[in-house]
Amino acid sequence: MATRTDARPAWAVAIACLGLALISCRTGPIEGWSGRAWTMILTSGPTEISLSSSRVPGYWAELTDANTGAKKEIFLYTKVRTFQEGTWVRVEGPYGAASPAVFRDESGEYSRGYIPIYILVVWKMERSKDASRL
Amino acid sequence: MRRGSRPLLVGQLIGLALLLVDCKSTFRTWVPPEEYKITIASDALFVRTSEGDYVDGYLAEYETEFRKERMFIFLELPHYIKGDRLIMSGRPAKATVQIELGGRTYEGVPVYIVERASPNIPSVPNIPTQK
Repeated sequence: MATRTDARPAWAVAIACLGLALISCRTGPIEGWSGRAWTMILTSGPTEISLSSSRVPGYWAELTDANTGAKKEIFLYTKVRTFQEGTWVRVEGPYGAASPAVFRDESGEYSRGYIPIYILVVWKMERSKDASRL
Repeated sequence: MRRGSRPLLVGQLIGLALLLVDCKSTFRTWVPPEEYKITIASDALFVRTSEGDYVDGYLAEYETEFRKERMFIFLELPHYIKGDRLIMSGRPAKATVQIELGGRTYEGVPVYIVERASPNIPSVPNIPTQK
């Protein structure tokens, strides 16, 4: 019985370690993740792209770098379809580069896996009142 | 057997094995995409290929050496309409499809994986003005 009581703290430590390890596994890589929000303009209405043969709904948006003024095209992955082209939005979520299949409504051009595109998975999205806040 | 010749024999056997694997391999060598001027001849279709894959796309027609040929173009986002003329860059897949269209059956239509496509808008010829 004495041995069982002695083993209890060791078990508790082991379970705590396992829990921490599982939490660290679920958080995923830190690279490409950010807690900050961006303000950008939507350059399309609700549209879709195809990623690994799956349709991904969302919007095309343009993000302007506050320091350099360079413009970057981003696809915002969201099921929300209430925003319109030309709306300034504030978005938050993880992003990364991918090479999806894309159809451009304005030019009728289709490309598949040609150009890497930044895709942002929208966690939060709201209309931005102040377009100058980048 | 002499000691020095053993590594050589092993190397030769590995080489032979790799050669056999390569011969039996189902992987195809990389084929550069080719450009075609096509006309879409059907509405968007969802078909099963000879390889068993289900794909979206269109039956398309193009001309080569004054002959009309047909191909099935595979697009992940089929937003074109019948009659659209496109400049398509793609490469042939291993598969074929059978398509029933307008009471006709087209068998063994080769599948092409589209990498790029854009509307084929012929430019207006530049005719010099008479002086």
